[in-house]
Amino acid sequence: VSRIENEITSKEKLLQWPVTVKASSDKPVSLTWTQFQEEYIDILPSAWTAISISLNDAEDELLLTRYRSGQSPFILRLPMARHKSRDLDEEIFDFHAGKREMLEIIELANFSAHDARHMSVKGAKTQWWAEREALDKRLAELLVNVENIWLGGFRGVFAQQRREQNALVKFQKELQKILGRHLPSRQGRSQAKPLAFDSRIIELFTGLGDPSDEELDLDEPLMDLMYFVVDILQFNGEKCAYDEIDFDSVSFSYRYCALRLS
Amino acid sequence: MKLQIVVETGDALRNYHAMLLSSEITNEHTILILDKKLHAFPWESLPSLRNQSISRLPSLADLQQRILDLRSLESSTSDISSSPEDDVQGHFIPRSSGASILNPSGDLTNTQATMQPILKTLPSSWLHTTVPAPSEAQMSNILSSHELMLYFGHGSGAQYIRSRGVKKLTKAPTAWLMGCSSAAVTEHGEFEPSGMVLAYLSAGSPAVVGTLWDVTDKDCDKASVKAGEIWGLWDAPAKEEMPKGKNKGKQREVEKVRGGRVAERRKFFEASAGDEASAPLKKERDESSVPKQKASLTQAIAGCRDACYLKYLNGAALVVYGIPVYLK
Repeated sequence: VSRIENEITSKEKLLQWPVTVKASSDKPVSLTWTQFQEEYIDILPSAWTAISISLNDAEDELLLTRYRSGQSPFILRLPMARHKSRDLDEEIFDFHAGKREMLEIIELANFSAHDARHMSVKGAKTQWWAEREALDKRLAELLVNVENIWLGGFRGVFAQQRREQNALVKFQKELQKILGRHLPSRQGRSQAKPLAFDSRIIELFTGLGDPSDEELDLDEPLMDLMYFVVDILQFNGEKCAYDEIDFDSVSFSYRYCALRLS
Repeated sequence: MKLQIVVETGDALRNYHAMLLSSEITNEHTILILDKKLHAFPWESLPSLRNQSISRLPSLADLQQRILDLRSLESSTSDISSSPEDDVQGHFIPRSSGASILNPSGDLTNTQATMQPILKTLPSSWLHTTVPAPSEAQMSNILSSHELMLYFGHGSGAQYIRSRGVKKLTKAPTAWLMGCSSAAVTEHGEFEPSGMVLAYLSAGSPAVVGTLWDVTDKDCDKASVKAGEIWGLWDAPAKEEMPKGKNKGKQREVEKVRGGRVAERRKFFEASAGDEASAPLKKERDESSVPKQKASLTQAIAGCRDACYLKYLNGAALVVYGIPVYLK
């Protein structure tokens, strides 16, 4: 039974400075990583994945963090306009451009949903539908851009995929062979360290889906991941000149990386 | 220009997928924890995310709270079903404990005509409210005494209960807010956003279904019917139960427009000798006679978006805040 209706909030009460509610136990304010892992992540049901999507302060990078029970957080930091540095002719689709487009679509959608123009006027109905359908298409296109440009090759982080160890190991081996064949830094050195990627990086590849699916065009996403893999090697001290690799770009921002927190 | 390294990796990836013993994924669920500036985007409808079971929450603390609630609920009702090896998959609510609020403003006649016969198929223990609209105290009562609340009306129902009233509830139910912009949150720059859906969440609601922007009623109704069907709340309605806009009275302007559209599209259907809307409906009914695992509310919402004629402008607006909720 509610007393909302006859509840009176006194002026004094409203003017009071809020008091911090004392926690039931005397826990420290900040958590250690272990506590965070135990209290927030390891309690996740095994079939659940939490992925936080946030922005850096400059609003030009997307920060994706994937949490699964029993795993340390997997963090990806994706500059939203990273393609720009590879293709200078490309129109910039940064966060502000994306958000502006989204808000404009919402505004137009809201307006047309309540549009009270005289539908008796000849052609008004057709016009209304044409506008709604165009907006529908515009939204679908925006979402394709968000996926292709912002997420790019990293969209696999969202994939709900099966994890079959045999297949994953085999794929990892094939990938190692391919990199060995194409990366100058791995050629001519018989004792090159074997590449051991975090399994979640392998899953970024497998999460892209099956290239046999004709509706999927994975060239661009795979390219994005290749740059990423080469970056990982760079961070680990391997000298990979991008112009020596079979990539079509020499200037490239090194800014995205995967961090492992433990 | 196709690079050799990409071609080869593509081949390796193809081999990988050929090796998989099964492509089936069961009960995988993703919770998006969204930054305050990112709620407006329908992330769930990105091409590679669409059709997945996805919900959203504003923070990991909200997620933690829900998991702890599930656990305490589980330990308190540890009767027969608590086999220790299977961990919780979501929140379970009985199909018998629900309330519906249908067209309380009295002007959504099409929605009422579509939903009323379907709502009548629900267990007799349900509480159904239409006009006259409930008072805030009544709303508060409805919300605190049921585990599921279906709202079909304008907006998020803030006309009947303010978000402050929702926040005061000791335990808000799972809610469907089938109205315009019912899940839209207002951004406040560097401060946390506000909105009805967040009020439900802060009052402990396991899940809230709503729309990120304004949708038109007919598509919204189609999606509701489909979602309820997938979720297991009701059966697929019999053919031609959907009214074809014959109400010429006090309906929303857009609805009249859609009436015109139906006539226009009918020509197309006659030409293609098959009603897009009724044929698949029948097929799914046959399938549902085979007992299968129950779908969660998030799976139901993922599956209902394509029931809309405008799959993005209306379909993508539908989202779920919270965690997976199942009917038991």
